[in-house]
Amino acid sequence: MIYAYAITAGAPPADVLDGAPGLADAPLAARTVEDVGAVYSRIERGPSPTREDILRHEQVIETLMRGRPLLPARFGTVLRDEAALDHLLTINHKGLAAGLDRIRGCVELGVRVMWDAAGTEVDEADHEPSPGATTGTAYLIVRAAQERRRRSTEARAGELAANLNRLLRPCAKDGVVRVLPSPQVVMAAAYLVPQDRTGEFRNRVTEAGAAFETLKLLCSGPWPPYHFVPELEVPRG
Amino acid sequence: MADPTPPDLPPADKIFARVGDLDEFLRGLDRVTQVLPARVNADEKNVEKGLAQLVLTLIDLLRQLMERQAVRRMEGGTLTEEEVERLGRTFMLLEKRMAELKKSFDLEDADLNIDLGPLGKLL
Repeated sequence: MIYAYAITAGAPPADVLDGAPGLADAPLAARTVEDVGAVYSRIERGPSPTREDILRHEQVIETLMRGRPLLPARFGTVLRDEAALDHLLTINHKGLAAGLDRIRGCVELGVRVMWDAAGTEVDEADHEPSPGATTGTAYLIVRAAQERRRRSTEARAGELAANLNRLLRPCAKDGVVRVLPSPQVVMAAAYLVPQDRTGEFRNRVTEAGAAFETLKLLCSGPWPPYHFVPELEVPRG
Repeated sequence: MADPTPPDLPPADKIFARVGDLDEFLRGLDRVTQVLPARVNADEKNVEKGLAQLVLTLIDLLRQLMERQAVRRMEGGTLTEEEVERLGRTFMLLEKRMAELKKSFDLEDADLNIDLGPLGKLL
């Protein structure tokens, strides 16, 4: 079987492929269909979600992305053989070529925003059942208070995320924002940022931190554009 | 023409900008490592637990949706006091029964909150 790392604009030069060992140190190879290439290696067994394999996957992709547009494959992308890879490239050629054009000259920057959970709490009195309430009624009263808190938290997170996105999005070509992916995280976003605007983006993150004092912001990257890969048509069978 | 090279950061240095304590973000990343090994092992015990996890997740999702509907009706004043009491007792017993089932299959609340990727958490 073969393990796919990335879709590239054309095939990377041989010295680049030689300089980045793949999973289990397997050598990298490339195939192209017209102007769209794919980098892969032959593997004996499927990848494991271990630190070693995940880091190797990322290292290969980051080596390949230096100097050329690239669409990273999700960790664990395995195909039967080279013919299956060629078929995948052929039936998805138009979408992949457009996807490569879209991310050309850009990197992905991740933004994760956390808030102080204490700031989302409501009065404890909301949780107290009314005097004389019977058991079932008391249960629903507590649930109603929790539901009000949930709606209030969602509304606050939505508003904060919208304000932050308004500040950051103008520096980016595209963005994917998730609001409240977990109770501690207000927003987790990925932005496709032109390389010549990454400094400006960094400044915006710092400005956002100053403007929203109760929030903590972490901007990570540059990453391969994992969140901006087009959906592929996958052959059945 | 080749694209300009991305900012030349060492592979380990991926902190591009930060406002706040890094440790808090790192604690949140612990959950990622808990998700990664979540694969189905095809031995009898794991398959049974996996199926129980899936079924209990669906039941809990329905329970929460029905509870929210009941709360909305209670707040909207369309339920009598008797109906509020009866519904509350039903949901309370259902929650108790769910806790027993989770315990018997060695499942935590977090196990019933499936990550749907870009769609977010189920519950």
